[in-house]
Amino acid sequence: MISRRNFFSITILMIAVLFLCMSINSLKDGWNDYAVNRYTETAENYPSRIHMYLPLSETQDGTKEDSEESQGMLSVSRDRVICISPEEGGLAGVVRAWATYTKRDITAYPSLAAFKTAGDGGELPEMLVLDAACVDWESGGELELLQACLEEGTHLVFATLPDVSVIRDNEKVKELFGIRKVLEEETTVTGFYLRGGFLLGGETFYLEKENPQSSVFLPGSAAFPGEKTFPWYLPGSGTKIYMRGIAEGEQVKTENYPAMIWRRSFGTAYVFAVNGGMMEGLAGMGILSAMSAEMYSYEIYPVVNAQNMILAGYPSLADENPEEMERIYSRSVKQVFQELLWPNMAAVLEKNRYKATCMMTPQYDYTDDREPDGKQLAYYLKIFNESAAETGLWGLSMSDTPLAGKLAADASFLEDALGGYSFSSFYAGDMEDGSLQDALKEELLESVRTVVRDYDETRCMPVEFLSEDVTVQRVLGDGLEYTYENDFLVRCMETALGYFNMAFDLSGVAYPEGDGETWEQLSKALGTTVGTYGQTFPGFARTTASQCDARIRQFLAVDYRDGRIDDAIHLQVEGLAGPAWFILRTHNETIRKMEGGSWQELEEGAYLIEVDQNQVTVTLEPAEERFYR
Amino acid sequence: MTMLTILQTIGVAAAYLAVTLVLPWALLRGKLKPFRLPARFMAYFMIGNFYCMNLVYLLQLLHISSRLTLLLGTLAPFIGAAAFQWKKSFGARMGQCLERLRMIFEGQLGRRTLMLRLGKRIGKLSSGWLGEWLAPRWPEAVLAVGIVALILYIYGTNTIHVFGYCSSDMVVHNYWINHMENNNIFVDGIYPFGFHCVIYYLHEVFAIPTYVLLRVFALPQTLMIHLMLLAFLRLLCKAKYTPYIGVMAYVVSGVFYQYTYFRYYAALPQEYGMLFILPAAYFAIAFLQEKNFVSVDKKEAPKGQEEGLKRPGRAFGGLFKRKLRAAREAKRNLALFAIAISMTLTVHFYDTIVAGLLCLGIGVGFAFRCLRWRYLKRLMVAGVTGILIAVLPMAAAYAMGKPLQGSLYWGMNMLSSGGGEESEPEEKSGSGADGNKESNGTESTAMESSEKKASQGEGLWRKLQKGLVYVPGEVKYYVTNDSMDAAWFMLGSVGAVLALGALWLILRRPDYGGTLISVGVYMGVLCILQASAKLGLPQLIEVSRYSVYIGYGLPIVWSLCLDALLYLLFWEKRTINAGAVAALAAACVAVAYTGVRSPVCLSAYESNEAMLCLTNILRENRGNTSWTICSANDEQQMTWGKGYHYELIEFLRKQESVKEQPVITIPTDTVYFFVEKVPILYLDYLNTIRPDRKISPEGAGMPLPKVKGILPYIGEERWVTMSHIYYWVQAFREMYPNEMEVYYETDAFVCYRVRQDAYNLYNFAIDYGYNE
Repeated sequence: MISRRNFFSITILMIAVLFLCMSINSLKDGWNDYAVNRYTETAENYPSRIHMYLPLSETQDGTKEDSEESQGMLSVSRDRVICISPEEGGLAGVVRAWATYTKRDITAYPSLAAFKTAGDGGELPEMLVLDAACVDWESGGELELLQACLEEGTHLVFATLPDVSVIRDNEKVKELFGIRKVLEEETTVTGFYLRGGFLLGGETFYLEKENPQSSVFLPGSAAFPGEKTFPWYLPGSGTKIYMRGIAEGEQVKTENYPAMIWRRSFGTAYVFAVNGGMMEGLAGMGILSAMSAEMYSYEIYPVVNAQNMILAGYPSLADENPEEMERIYSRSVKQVFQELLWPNMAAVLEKNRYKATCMMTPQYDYTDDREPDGKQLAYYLKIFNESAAETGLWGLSMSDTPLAGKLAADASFLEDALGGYSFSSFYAGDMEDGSLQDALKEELLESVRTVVRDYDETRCMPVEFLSEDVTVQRVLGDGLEYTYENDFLVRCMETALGYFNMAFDLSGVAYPEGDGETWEQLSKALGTTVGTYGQTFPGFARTTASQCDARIRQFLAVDYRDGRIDDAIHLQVEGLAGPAWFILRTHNETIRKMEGGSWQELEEGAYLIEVDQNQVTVTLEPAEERFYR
Repeated sequence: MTMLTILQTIGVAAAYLAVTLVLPWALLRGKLKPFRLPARFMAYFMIGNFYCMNLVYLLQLLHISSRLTLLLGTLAPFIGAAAFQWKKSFGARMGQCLERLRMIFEGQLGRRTLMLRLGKRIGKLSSGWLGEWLAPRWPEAVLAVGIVALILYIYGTNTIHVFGYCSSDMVVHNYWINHMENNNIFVDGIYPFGFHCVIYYLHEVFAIPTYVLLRVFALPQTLMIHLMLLAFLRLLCKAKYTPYIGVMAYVVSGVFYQYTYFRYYAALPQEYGMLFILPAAYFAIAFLQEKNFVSVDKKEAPKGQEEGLKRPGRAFGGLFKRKLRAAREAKRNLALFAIAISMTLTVHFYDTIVAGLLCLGIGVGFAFRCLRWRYLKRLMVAGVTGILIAVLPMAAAYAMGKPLQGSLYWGMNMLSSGGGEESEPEEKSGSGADGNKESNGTESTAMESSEKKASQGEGLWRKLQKGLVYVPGEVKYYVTNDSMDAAWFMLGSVGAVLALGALWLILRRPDYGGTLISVGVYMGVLCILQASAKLGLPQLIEVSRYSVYIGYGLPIVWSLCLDALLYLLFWEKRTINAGAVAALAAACVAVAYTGVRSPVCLSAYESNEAMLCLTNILRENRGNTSWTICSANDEQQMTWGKGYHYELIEFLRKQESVKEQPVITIPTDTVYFFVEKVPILYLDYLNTIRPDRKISPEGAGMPLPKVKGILPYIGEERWVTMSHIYYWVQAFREMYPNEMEVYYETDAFVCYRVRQDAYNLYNFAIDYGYNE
């Protein structure tokens, strides 16, 4: 027999358990305000274009107020960069963008002769970035000018090298670049070796094959950074090599491999030489940052500190391309997206702590009669909300539907399904500027603060303002295809900006163009990309597109000065509207303590500094103390 | 670093004493029970060292030497003894031992339980047996501890403050020992390797780096040398406390010239061999003091006494038993004499020669027994056996095709030519024994040569008669601090011990008298040999080295003189010990009055900073061999097998051809440059002179030394070499300010570190302004 008291207790317990089990899901559903975009916040809360730092040469009145003079601080002389390059060339744009991002001033001249003629106030800049074609190598006067710059402490960065015949025949030019010997006028390398400590991400080999005997090409070897054919120079004494080509043939000694990026020391200044077109495009920005870090005992510069994973065209809510889906997956596209893709992608992203930005589209094809499912939308918004993923809008379509028509259809659907939804990020792909500006005026996109665009070699600024209040963030490549070229670009961008933005175009899953685009293959590529970059750069913050936008605004608005007294680096930061991030690069020194923010080590000699206050002091100490004294 | 050195010294001493004292004690404590404590101490020590040396010799010659074989060889006597003792139950007991080991390794018997059991046993030992043993001996124990403290203070100060090698030839020994790791004994030719065997054993078994052993082993070695002296005196003296007088005076008295004790600051084979001279003498004396000694055979036992042999009891009191016991003790003494003689030869020829001189003294002192055939033949057989044991490994190596080491040819030439002016090649430290007395030494040498010419054609006796007048002067020069009074006192005490020995012979105490005369004759001969160059006698050993042995013999003379006098005053009365205490007190006052020696710190052959950096480098690069030290020191041997070394002079010479654009690369991840801003004085002799000349542009402006070998690192050349490297480093640092980092710096030294990328090595060839 059970007593009444026990019966009562058991009943209460059972009710409590039942209540807990039943209520958790109800509560979760009830409290999940998925219909409200958590990343939507008005742009007025963030710095806008008017706050953006512009190099001195670009201010309207041609003057720039100096920030408050630091008292007793040993200021690093990095006020001005002079770029000697044709205006129409990509180099000038890259240097200009880099100077903007690192808050330097910049002046550009089409040739060294023009620079010489201009006189430039008689004050030599911190560094001269030169296109070798803009220098008259036959003229002794220009060489003397370069020598004089070096003697005055101006660093020379040669983004390209003069013709091999010039170097071979002119001892002074050889001496300038620190070239001991021209071994071959042209050689084709089978791979590259990148020294650790130059770009972030550590030492790297870009090899064509595992070994010379192997017949299998390595993944990534489809595209190498720069050129594989260039003159074979052997640098001499006083040089430091950062990147080499790997010559074919086992008989070549490692130390004789052709140099690609190196430095020649002249005591007070360096000459940096880049062989093989490595500085073309955005990669040049990272190389400039890495060179700058090599020039001084320490280097501190602002970065975005954002790592985005853009799932472009995911999810789609309509049951499209049913025949093909049935043939490949034996299920509908909705089921494929819901049951195959999301669990798989969520696991991979979660493992590497990435946050997804899902650029959804109600449907890919607006010409068919298959309409999007509102319940699906609610489902995805809920799970995205739970996993802190952001929902943006994909601006493309598989049909020839005009953008305005697509946006109208999408707005109508969203109104019906949710009563409307505010997007803060928009995926524009390779959309033209005009179309994009027009689209942003649409009601559906009024709340958009940031636009994600495809990688464009001709565009030198990966992050910038598109309009007064809308930023652009460019993706650095297609995450579903890993190449060495892309890997190098990512390393350069991480070094220069702490910025990573990789897009995975998942529309191909619904509309595969070949057997290689099935999810089975694509998921492997996704796993490789996410895993590789996730492990290489674990220190940077994982963000969604909107979070990245906030950081971009702060990054573009911030200005700073720094100086060092003994072991303390003093940093004065202006334009702070929230936390800002800097990279500090040191040589054999580590951070002991910090005031005005916090820090974390990215890798040996590289630290990510989070600045909360205008005045920051970072105290360094030797990287290692002697155990026995 | 000082604390590390102290810990290293303690560790090395513990390891050495465990092998040479504790293990023989554990095995042979029953067998050696009849001996007096100091004799047991000597015996254990002799046996431990002897076994260790010969085990290494055997395994090295068989090319199977490793930690495992050495451990097995060390345990073999214990296993053998256990098998002999337990016979039938051996298997079961071994099984038990293995089972216990299994339990420990498998964790069934926890570490804490094991430690608790061991602790309990040690606790019982300390509270029980040790307490009982110490109770009647505490005054001596206090004195002994005091003596040990004095030795540690006088000699340990140098050990813990000077980290570098204190003798120039230690790097050679380091090199020889290093190659023993590859079972390549006698790498540089056949040489007495006893010392090297022991160091190698400690290195291999206890995993102590060889360079650490060579740095700190001098202190345990010196401590044991003094304890041997104390034990020897304790066995010979009648009074308990007179031995402490001699030892105390030897350790702290300021009358001795520095060279008589400077070599104790370095772990050198000759000094290591001194450990075995006095035990050899003692066991020879002990054998000769045995009056009842006759050759006894158990089979010759008279009827009715055979049973008594097998069981203890009154039957042992019989004459035959006494004879049998005496015969056993005599055999043990002879065996230990043979072992000690063997080890003197195994370690260093000079020690054998000095032990031979001591045996000669004993032969004179105990002529009344020694000339009897039954004593003489046994002594000779023991001596020859000892020598054969020592020679056997060397002969075996010779038969296997190893040549003799260079210094042996030199020694043989010296002996055959009757002396010479040159110094021993690899032991250069002795050649400069004169040290501060250089000018005096030059005069002395000039006088020697003129005397030599004059004395040619004269008879030996005539030469001796004429030359004896030089003995006080030579003793004054080599043994004292230029004090004629001290020299006369030393010679007088030798005469006094001879006179007292004769007196005690007359007073019918032949054993005691014989001992005194033995010591007197030995010291007398040594003093005469000190003047051998002037006397035209063959130089058995290098003339300056006699002073080391004379210094070591004088405390024996002084203690025995005082002991003989006290014995004369008190005879066998117990008050003799009170007299000895009074004499000890008086001796302390006298030593204080005549001057006390304070601890010195030698000028080492590597700076402290260099050793500190080396220690740090080894620690940081544990398991990584991709590093190079570019220096003027011999880190090549110190870091053997752990990293690489680049000769500084080679490095600088390659820089000379900078116009031809040479490529100088060092293919390791890290390169360290050791630069002495105040170059050390790399003098051949041990000294305390401190360097004060700083490197300068003037030095760098001078051409690099063209001389070979070690010469670019000595004197003026070292200053030039260091000046060059300093300015090279400055120029390189200007080019690579972030890459060339200061690893460690003081006012006198700086170590730079360059970390390289193995695929992009730096070209170290630069124009530093002084290339040519």
